[in-house]
Amino acid sequence: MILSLSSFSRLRARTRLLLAFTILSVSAMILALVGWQGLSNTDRALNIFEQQALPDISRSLELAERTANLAAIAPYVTSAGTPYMLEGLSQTLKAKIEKVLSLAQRIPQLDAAAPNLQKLLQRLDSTVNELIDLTRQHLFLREDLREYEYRLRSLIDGTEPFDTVHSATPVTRLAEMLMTASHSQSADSLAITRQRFIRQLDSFHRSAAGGADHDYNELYAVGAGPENLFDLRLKQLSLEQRSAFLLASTRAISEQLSGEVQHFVDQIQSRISHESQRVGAAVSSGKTGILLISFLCIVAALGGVWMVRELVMNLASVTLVMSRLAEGDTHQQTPAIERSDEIGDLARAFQVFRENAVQIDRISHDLQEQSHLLETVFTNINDGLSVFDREGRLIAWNPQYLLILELPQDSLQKGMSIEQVHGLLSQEAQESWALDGMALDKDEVNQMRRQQPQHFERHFANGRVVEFRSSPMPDGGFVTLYSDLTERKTVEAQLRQSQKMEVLGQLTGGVAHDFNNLLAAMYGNLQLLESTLYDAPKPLKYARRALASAERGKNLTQRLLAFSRKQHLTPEPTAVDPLIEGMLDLIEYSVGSAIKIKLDLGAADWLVDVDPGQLENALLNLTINSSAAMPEGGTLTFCTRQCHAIALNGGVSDAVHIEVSDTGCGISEAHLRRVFEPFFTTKEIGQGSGLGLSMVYGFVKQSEGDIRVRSQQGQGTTIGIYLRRKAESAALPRADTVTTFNYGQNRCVLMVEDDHQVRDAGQALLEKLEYRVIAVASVDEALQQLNERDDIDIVFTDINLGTAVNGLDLAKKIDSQWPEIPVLLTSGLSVQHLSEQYGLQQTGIVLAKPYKLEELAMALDNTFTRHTDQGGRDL
Amino acid sequence: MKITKRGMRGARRVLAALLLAGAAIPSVAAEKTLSIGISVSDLGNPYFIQIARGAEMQAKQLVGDNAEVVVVSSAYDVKRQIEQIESFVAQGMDMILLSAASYDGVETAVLKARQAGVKVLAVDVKAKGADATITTDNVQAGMIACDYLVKQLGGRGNVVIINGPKVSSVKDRVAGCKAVLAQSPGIQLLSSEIGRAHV
Repeated sequence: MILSLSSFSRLRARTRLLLAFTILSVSAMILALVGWQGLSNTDRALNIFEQQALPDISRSLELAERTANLAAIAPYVTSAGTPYMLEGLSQTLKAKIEKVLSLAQRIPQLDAAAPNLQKLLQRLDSTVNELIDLTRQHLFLREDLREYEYRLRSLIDGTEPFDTVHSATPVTRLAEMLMTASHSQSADSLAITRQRFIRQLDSFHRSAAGGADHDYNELYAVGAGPENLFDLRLKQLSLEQRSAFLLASTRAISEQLSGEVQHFVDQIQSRISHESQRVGAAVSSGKTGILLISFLCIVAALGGVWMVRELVMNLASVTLVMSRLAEGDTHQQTPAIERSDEIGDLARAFQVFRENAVQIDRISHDLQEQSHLLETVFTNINDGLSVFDREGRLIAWNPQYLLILELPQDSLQKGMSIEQVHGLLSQEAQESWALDGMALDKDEVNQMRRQQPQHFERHFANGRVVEFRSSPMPDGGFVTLYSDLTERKTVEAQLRQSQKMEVLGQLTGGVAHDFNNLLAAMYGNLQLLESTLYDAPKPLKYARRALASAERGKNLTQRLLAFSRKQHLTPEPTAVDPLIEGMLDLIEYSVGSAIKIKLDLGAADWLVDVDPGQLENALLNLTINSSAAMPEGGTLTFCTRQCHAIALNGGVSDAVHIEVSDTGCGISEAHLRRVFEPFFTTKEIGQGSGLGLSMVYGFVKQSEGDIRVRSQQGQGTTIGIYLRRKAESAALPRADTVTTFNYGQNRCVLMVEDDHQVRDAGQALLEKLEYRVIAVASVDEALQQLNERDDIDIVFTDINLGTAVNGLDLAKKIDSQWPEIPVLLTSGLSVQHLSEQYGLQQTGIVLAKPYKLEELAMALDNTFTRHTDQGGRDL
Repeated sequence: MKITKRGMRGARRVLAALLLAGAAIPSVAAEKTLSIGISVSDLGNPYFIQIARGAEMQAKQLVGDNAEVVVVSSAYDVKRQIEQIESFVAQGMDMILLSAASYDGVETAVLKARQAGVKVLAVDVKAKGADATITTDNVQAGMIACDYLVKQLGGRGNVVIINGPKVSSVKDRVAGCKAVLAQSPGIQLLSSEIGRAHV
């Protein structure tokens, strides 16, 4: 089975392990089978060897030995000295041949391997038997010959005593001849001896005496009778020959036998070696198989080990990350998440757990934070907070609850009823007030609090006002917020005051503006009238009275405008301390000798951007007010200080603090709120305008400063003025007022003024200054004139023309179409007002209404000069 | 190695015994002939030749030239000896001196010879049915020989008996020898079958 590594790694770990273990176990089983098979083969081969080969070998060996033995007996046979030995040999031989034959019969394959064995054995048997037989015959012949020899010896011995002298008797000679013949080794010599013996016996017989018959008979019997010595010896020799042949024959048979047996043994050997080769081949193939399967086993085992190791490692890493997670470390990357097996499942499941854990952690953290936040809010909000349950028992409250309701510390306990808590409040605070000031029934309110949002106030003895905002809760009960409204009420009062002052300012500003126009017309006309009445003293006196009244009216309107912050100011960098020092004589003159003046100046060289004349005016007003408060005399103190980074009109800046304090009667609290209102006065009617402090207020506010009053009845009043410090400290020298001016020299002025009275007065003044005047009421008319005429030298226009198109628009048009014509602007409004309302950028060229003749002349003059210098205007 | 060897002296003692026996033969007359058939075992053995010679000389002393002595050799072959005995009887021998090839193998022939009136003397070895037997004390001879051997070996050693034909003299000598050897614990008898025609 071949699996690509990638497809293998996609398998489940269980499948992989199963696969590895299956391969392992199958391999082991095959190994066992192969081993078993090999052992069985070997065992079978061994059995075959034991049952067939070994007996065959031993039998063949025995056979070989015995056949060799058989052949070896033959020489013994020939050398056997006695018949009994021969007999024994014969029996032995027979037994041996029997044994060999029986042995041969027990070897079934012998017939095929050695087909001649039996035949050879029979031949050997017969040959050896013949040999034995021959040998026996030979033995018997030998004994027969010995018998002959005994007889011959007896013959010789019998003749010896008679013939010792002679060399030999014929009998002896013949006997000895026979004796020699009995040992003759060849038939030929035997035949020769025989012939000689016969001849000599014959001659002996013929020559011998009668007494020698016995000898002769004996010799004859032995040498020539039946079965004589020669015959026996001859027979013996022929037996010996035959015996030698038989011996050779047995050797040949024996060799053939050996050959046969050897052939058989060779066959067995070859069979054994063939069997051994077969077994060897089987064993070696078995070994190869075992090696291969062992290798497979090892590979499978290694694979299994590798897999288990990898699994364990992955498990360990997941476990490590789990342990880390358990310790709170959620930033560990989950390993093996991409795997497709159980580890991957585990890792992914763990990932889900981890994400859950992280989420839970985060949620719990968020909750904790939220709860902490809520607790912080609960304990740190400015408002008091209480929660009552549906039975009206106190569940929770924050520290501010105690503070705001002025309850003693530790006086509250959980589960207290709302009535008990109520009882702890001061008497005043037990009354509830609706926002519109109506008194409420407390039980009714407490009942209502459970059902719908309630909003009411309670007032405490020290003037504190506490707002109750109560909301019912979904599961009954209600939660209440307690806000200390005292400060807010104060701020609201201040706001109301400031709004009132604003309205008053606007009102007075509007009235003063219109009144100012009226005065301008009156004043101009009165001036013109005055100039014509030099010859009539009485009308001149009336005219001058009227002019003085107009002058006073003008001053009044100026003060009204000052209060409404619409007066014309020319601020410049001013050092406060020298200013106060400079007006000290004026102050002393104003207050009289009963009042002691004290200076405490600490502003040093700090500068403020303020109109110095108006500042003097304001201080003088305060001085007069203070002196009025000290009819019996007292001390008036002027104090200045440098204030670093204080809150001022919604910003933070350095400021100079000017304080004017007296030791007078003081102002009651009720009056104190209204002191800056115009026409508010404590003096008798006709004794004061009630505009002094109002004007100071308007001036300070217009100068972007602040004014505060502090007074205690019977102890005096202190008024503090804060003026923003000017950044650059270098004080510019005050420009000298130009007092000389040039006349018009019949130059043409186009005057634009919607108010016909002002237009007429202005025209008259211009003409008096020797200007030619073309007076028009609107921009359209002015443009018409400009288009039609080419002799206009200057345009003098009011800014507010009562139409959508104003004087500034006209000036811009002229600048673009007739740049050679300069324009002088005029307005009853302050420069600040103009810049706010009309976007005016330049202050120097606006002539303030109402204007005097000199002011108009100088303004026209300056306009010409500037225009000439610059070659145009910059608005 | 032969344990016992028949010397001339032994043969002469046999001869003396033979003479005593001869003296008891009633049929021998002074004038008459005496024919003796002698069947020995081996004429190649001088002992037997001496027996034959001794008997022949004694016969010649008794009857002079009338003594007829026929010497044959059985070559230890029972059948041949039976034929020889029968031949002796047929020749009308007066007496047969018999070195039997077998103790009981020739009994029938011996009995037949005796029925025919021939005296049968067993010489050197016993023969069943013989009229008389003349032997040496072969048991004692075996004992003496082997006692000597044991002494020469110093009571310790391995011994082999080269046996001979199954005749009484040989059997007795082997028995005597074995009896001595059995009394010597240091002597180990390895075999007593060698020489018994087993190759």
